[in-house]
Amino acid sequence: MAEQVNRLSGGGSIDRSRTLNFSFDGKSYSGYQGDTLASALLANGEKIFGRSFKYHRPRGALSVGSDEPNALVELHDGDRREPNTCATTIELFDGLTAASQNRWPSLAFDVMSVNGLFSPVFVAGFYYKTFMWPKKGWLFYEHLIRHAAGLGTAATQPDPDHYQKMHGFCDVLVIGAGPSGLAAAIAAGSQGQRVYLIDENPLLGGSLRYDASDAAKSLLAEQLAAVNTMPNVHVLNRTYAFGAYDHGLYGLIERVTDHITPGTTPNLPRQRFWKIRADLAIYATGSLERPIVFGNNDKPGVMLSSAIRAYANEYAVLPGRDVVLFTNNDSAYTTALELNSLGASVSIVDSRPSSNVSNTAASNGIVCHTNSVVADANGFQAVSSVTVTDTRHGSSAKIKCDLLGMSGGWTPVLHLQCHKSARPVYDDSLVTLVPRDDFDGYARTVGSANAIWDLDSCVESGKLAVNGQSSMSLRANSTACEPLWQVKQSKHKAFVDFQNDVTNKDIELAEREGYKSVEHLKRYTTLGMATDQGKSANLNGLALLAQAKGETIQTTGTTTYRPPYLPVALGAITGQSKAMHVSPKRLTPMHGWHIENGAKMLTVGQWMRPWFYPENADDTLGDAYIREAGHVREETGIIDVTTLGKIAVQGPDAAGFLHRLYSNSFEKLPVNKSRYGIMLREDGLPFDDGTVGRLAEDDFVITTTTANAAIVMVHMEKHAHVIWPALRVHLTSITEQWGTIALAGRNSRKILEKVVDGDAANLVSNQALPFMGILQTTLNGVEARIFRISFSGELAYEINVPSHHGEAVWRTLMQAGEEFKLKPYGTEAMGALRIEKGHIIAAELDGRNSLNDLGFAKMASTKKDYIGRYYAQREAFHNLERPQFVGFIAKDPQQSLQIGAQITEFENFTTPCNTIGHVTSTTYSPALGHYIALGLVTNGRSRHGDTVYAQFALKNKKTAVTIVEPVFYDQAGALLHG
Amino acid sequence: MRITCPYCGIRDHSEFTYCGDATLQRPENDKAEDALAWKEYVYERANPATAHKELWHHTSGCRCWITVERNIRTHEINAVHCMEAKHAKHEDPGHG
Repeated sequence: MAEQVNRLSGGGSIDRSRTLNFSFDGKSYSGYQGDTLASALLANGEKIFGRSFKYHRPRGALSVGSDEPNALVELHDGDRREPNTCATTIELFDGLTAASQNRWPSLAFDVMSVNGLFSPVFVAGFYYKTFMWPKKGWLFYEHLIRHAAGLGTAATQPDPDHYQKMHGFCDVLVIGAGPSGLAAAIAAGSQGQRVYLIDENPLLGGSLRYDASDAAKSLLAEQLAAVNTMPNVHVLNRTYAFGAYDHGLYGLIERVTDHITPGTTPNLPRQRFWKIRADLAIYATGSLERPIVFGNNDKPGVMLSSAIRAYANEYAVLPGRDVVLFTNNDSAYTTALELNSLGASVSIVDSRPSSNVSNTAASNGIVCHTNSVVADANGFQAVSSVTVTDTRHGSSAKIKCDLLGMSGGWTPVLHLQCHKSARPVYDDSLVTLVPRDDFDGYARTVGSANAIWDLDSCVESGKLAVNGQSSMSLRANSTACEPLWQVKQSKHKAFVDFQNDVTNKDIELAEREGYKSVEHLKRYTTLGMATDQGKSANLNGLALLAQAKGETIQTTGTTTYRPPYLPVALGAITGQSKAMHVSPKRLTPMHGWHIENGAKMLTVGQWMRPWFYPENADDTLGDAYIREAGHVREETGIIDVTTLGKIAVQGPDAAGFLHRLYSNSFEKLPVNKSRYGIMLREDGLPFDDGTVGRLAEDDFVITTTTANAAIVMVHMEKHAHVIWPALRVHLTSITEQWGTIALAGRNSRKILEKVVDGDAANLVSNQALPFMGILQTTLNGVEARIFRISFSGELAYEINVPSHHGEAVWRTLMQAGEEFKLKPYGTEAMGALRIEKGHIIAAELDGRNSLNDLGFAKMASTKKDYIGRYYAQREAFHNLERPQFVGFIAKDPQQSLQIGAQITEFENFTTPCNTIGHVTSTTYSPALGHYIALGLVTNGRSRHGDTVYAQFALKNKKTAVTIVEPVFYDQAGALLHG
Repeated sequence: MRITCPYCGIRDHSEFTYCGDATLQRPENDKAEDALAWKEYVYERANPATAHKELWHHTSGCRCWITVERNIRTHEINAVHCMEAKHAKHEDPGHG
């Protein structure tokens, strides 16, 4: 067990009475409640947290928060393993397990760090330039590169945690609970507004938490007390806004139990995905300190100056005793004075001339090297000294140190503005990026996110925002920052983007090679494209490109930050919508009977339909469908067809509406009759088919295919409400209100006679209820609409009863049919029967085939206007070279055919192959005793009898087939009318 | 985005389906054989980077058809109207 050698004896927000044990790379450590993984490791004297992406250089923690580019670890192991997690934001809990990434075999000794020796070749665009030859080689190189580069590995088992989704609505959403965010929340809350106040950290306060001054401490206490008294201010801590969207929508992730030992709170979600809709959002997102680009600025022990301050004040950790702070602004001096008072020996290297601030520091015992820069950091694995160069006369000296802080100025966090297309602009006098405008219809930017760093001004800006006022006038360069984008005197590699290993040389090279636009630079060098989205690298990268081009930063332009602000677990987006909850299941009223009778069910869209009814455990689909379809042909079958779409079309103009909707005529359809119809799209191609039944003068019911039910409904509504609003027609989807049962086979009428109330024999006689007739009656007292319609080609009826009677009527029919050997059949047998009859379904009605192609030219009325009429007439649709609907039988009829097989004229073909058609549907026909198929062939109707070839390349199969009439069974249709 | 449905009030856009240009007129009567009019109605769509009058369907709500005047660049919505009310020509639609 390591000792907490860097832990201060007092101070900080940690709870020293609660020791927590954890392991990193298999080694045991202890920390305290309130620590992060990074603060605990630093307290234990650890400096190296991981290896870098490309050069495998040792890296430590750069920052204290979610901007961390280096200290990325794999958190947890097994099914909870999560790669690329910031050690700086992982709250410590007892039993935490983490591992470093991108190193082999160990963190201290990494084989791939030889990449660093070859670094002159690993420049920007290296992969693009090197692995281009031979072309096919990339597949091989990529495998090796992906192993050598990259970050952690994700878990491979299902995520054991669960997640929630929440919606929130508010007047004001305050993002960030630092001094300005708290001020805004208090101001809005005291006006009685509904407020959400969110912060990514566990404790509110933002920068106030890292500030040791009495002013900061009393302001924080006062603000927290005020927020706690306001029930209308809803506080979400451990919550970050990952994206800003239109009309005030924000995506948030609340880390509910990430800070607790996994598995100990089974009733709480791991995270909540919030969608908050806010009338006004206040971006109090703060600002981040910039690193400075100098040699070896990535060495463990080199940190942001503000991070050193935060570790000392919030976590009571001082990661070094001999501290050098390298700065171009005043903020590092506060750190210097505070570290000095904690007992560290502190030197400052300031690129600017001496000033009142440096003189004050010097009088407090801090060594100040003004007009100086740190040219390089030195040391084997961690920093042990720095080379300081005087910029006036060029002299250099080495200063020993074990901790180097850098402060290159502050950049506002402007991600959310970018998500809404407002790119930041560079302000010369403030030496930083600022929001283009701190004010739009939905959001305002306050505090240091708006380049306001003075504490009183921050509080003021929060109040102004709530009152609808801009705080741009409060912007000031209050740290007297001067531009210092890179140290020219450096001899070693100087990093701009730590996470993607992009150096100043890479940017200069990219510029020389012509990648002069910021967008090209970004993609060529991968600057700002890692999981941190360039939080620490962005402005330095832009400034270096501007320098290389000899332009200003304004004319060079800025890139944008894209969502998510921080990585989002896929589980959080999925929420509860997994496994059976991905999509609702729609069950027919007869579902219970099917299950009871052992049906194998098939999911069709959201519907569950009986696929086939196995007779024993060894029964296969292939045996079952042939048996079931044969039984329908020889005896009688029953099938659940509830899933067909059913739409009620009612009103004085219902007939006129249907007349315009379908290509064939409907105006003169008599009451209690139905007719087959095809709908076209306005471009002239068939779209769906079904039957139209007339129940009364102004009352129709139409059927659609199962798959198109919802789409047809919208198509009809659009035409009824938008295109022909004057038509008095009302549409209602009644698919789920009516259960539908089809009886098919020679005895179906005899079964009906047993169940229809009243003088049944007369009511269902061939004369009273002929083919395509409708009978509106009762079955054992249950309202029923019986349509004499046949999809199977047999004497058949579709019986519609109110859904809640569906199962009872089904059982009644089964009982009545017992003496006639009535048996259920599934969708597979239904498919075989319809192929025997050459009925089309979606496979043929695929949105590419015209009415003429499908053999329905006669269904295109020439006497009326209807949807698709104009383009259905186009000449190209009547071209003989178009594919036409045909049947196929193999030369050896016991040979099966494959759906999707291409039809060719000749047995052997060369690629590219000239196909003349394809197979759309195939089945074994029990009635014929061999295989049959449907499909389309160029000019197929005049080619019946010709031999062509069905080529199924996936199975390397070719079959000689004969083109035939696409109706294989009862071509005269005698059975339908019997 | 959020759209204010004239019947249901302010709702998330995920309840609606976008259905294209609301100003299209189906060629009928004297234009029924006008090739140019059909081409414009079925195939031609402008993509103006400015305010646009669009047809939306409140698919997961009241199933009302609405016209939305939306700026495609900013997603700003200036007005929402109900299609049916605008077109209604009959005093008594016959069915409630």
